Amino acid sequence: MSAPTTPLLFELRSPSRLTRRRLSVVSFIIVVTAAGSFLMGDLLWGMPIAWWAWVVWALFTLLFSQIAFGASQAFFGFLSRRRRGNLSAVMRTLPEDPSTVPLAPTAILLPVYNEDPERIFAGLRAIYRSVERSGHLANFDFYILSDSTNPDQWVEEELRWVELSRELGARGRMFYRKRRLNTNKKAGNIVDFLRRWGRRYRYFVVLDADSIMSGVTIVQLVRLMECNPAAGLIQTAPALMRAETLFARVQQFSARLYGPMFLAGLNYWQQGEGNYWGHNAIIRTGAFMDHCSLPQLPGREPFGGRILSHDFVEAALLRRAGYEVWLAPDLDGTYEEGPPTLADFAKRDRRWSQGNMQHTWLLFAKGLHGASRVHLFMGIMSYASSLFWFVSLIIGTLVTIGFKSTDLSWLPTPGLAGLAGLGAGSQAALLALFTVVLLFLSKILALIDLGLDKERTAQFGGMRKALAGVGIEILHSVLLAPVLMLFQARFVVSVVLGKGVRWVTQRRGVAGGPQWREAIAMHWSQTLIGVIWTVVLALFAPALLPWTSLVLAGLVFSIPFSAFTASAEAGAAARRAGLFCTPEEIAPSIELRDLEDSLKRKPGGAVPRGSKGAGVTAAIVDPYVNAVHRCLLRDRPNRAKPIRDYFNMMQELVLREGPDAMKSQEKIALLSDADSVDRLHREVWSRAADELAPVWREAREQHAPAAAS
Amino acid sequence: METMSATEANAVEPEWDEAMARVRAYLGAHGVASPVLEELSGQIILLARDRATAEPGRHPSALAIESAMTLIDAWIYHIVGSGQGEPAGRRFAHERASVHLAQIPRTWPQHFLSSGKVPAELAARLRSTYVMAGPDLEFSRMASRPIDLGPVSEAAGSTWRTLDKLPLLRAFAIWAIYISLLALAFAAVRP
Repeated sequence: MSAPTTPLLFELRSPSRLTRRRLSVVSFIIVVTAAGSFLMGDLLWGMPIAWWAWVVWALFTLLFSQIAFGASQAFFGFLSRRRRGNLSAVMRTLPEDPSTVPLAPTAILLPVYNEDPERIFAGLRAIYRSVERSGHLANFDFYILSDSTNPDQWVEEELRWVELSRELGARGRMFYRKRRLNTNKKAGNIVDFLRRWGRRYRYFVVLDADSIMSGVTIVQLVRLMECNPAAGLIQTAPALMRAETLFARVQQFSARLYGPMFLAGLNYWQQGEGNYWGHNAIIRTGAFMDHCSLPQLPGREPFGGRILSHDFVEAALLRRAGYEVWLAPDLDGTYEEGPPTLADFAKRDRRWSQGNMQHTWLLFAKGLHGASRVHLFMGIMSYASSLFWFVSLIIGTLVTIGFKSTDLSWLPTPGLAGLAGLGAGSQAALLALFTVVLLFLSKILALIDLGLDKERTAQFGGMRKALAGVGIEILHSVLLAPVLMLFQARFVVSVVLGKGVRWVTQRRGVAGGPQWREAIAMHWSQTLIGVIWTVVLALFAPALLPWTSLVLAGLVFSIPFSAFTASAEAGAAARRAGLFCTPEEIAPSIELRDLEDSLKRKPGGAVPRGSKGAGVTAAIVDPYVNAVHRCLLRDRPNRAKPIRDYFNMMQELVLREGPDAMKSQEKIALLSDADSVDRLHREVWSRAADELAPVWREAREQHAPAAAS
Repeated sequence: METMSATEANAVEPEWDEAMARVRAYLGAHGVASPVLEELSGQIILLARDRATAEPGRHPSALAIESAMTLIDAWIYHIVGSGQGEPAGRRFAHERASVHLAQIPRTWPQHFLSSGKVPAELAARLRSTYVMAGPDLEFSRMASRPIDLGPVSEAAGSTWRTLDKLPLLRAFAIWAIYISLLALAFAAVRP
């Protein structure tokens, strides 16, 4: 099946305008990069460093083009936002009265992997109630697609699902599915759903475990898909929320302040050839099923094998099949949480870097659209550029040391800029100023954009607070950048050398003060590199110290910086001071208030929480928990005898020695076996005390009448 | 049933005392509270005692719990009818889950496990709380399609595969890169 052709709707699809826009963006990048590259090249050519000049100049030009690209997004995004009545947004395809657009059956998917069940179901509750309030609940089904490997969390998820379904009256509308094998991780989880139930739905909305979307937004997305039959996917731009640590609050603030402008810039040139970010998006089921089942890459993981960052590739495959992929930057009511600390940020980067580096294979794949290749390339460069930056700094240091050892003059040949009356020092300063202006352009434009909108300014706590926030955010970014440079450079090299990453759950919150232990473990090597680098420069090239001082400071102080910004107390203090406020904090939507209310409520009595093993114990002993768990298991009456014998042996072991006698995978295996769950429940209640491990006896006693009544 | 006689009989038999306590705990775990709890426990012990004569070697607690499970199963089956061809274990699980979700022991304590007629609302609530993990399956095929990676990636892939098969060659390549980097650094400090 290929994409249907759509007549030009309004002015949304105008090839000539799209070409003009892309030419404008590319021209901006080329002009800016060429100017910076000229200034740098002119400086380098004056030095007697022969072929090194080529290497440094090539790396500089590549990195400068990245800066120019970022600045272009901010510049065109600013223009786009300031120009009222921009028709090139998918939102404009909705008719004046959107309610005239009929809805279609849509599944809302919530893939989970060992995330906190309390948070997952509080979020799902908020989304469900919001869809209910929209008055269109009948068009939606909700699926919790669990890949959790923690047996306690698995049991808790089941209980919370049943309890939530009961509370909301969502029986037959909210479903739970646990995969036995986590083949292909999240992408495989979605594909598994589609293979089982995909054909029931025209669209599906993919969420993340921490996503929130309002019912109105989801309904609008469905209507947008109905209005745009050629659209294969519409991606929303989730706002960060619920940040508590200082690190998370700064990220949340900067994303919320600068984000809309960058997103408008992105939408300016990509239009229907956008990208997919893996969640908070709606997808046309048929198109996805026909074109987006991912193949394996050549080689083995981490560089080859299964595709980790599936979202970019799925968007590229949809586009290859002729479907449009839109970004809806102006659609509100879509949220997610960010990593709470620098350590968590780095862990997420580790996964993403591996996924993005894999995309190198696909850069030259046949049939991909040019815009898809740009997205893949930019994804690769977002990590590879850190390595290039690091290498250029190292080369710069080595070359400077070389000058020191030979006493050669820095600039024996006057540069071309000299013809304009500029000395070498002025030329270097001009280049530095040019770079700083480009780096700060987005912040300046974002503040102007904010200042022109009084209502929005108030949502950030006023202009003074926003200015203060931007000032501290700049300092934060300056210290953060070199740390991320080293992290990302290491990740890229690790991937190339064949060191992969495990699929881990992202932590969403941290309590208390500075996280010293974690900071030392994460950053000691960066601190050491920073100190050694500083000493080497101080001894051999002190003139270079002022130029590298910000980079070195970021490395030398990485431990206190990471520990302090990981502090929830510091985050709360900033909140009290009115710093880093966002619209979601100052005027939270009803969905976010609903989420917070749910999290404050105590869980139901049957939900096993707390100690390790509580879920497994409850699934065996508690008749209700056992019943719910057993309801969700498939019977396998024809198991081979060796498998039955294995389970019998495991049952006896666990009855006599308790669940701790098993490894996590064994617990999962036993809890996945219907016969074992039946028998263990029966035996725990029937056996004499001396035939059972103490844990079972104690759990039985907890149900004695006094406790029950 | 004569519940008092069961209690009196248990008084002198520790194993039946233990069985009684076990049944009380099991029913308590279902949300059954006093005074219905005592009454039902007594009934179940009497049933277990009946079974004990036919199965003399078995522990009273095991017989009592099995009797409790059988009674619960039979009671719900009597009300909601067929388990739609489900295996016994699965059907029993659905029944027990429904009892809890419908809050039968709390809302209708006098009717729980009773042999008499139950209110229509109770039956309706039991039927409506069936745990439903997902709608009926509608399987589709979603086969992955190969991507033609183009000549550059194909060449890189074949090189990768070659290096993968020849660990010595791979190690040599890594050493060569490492030594080249050192040589470059050496050259850099001597312009």
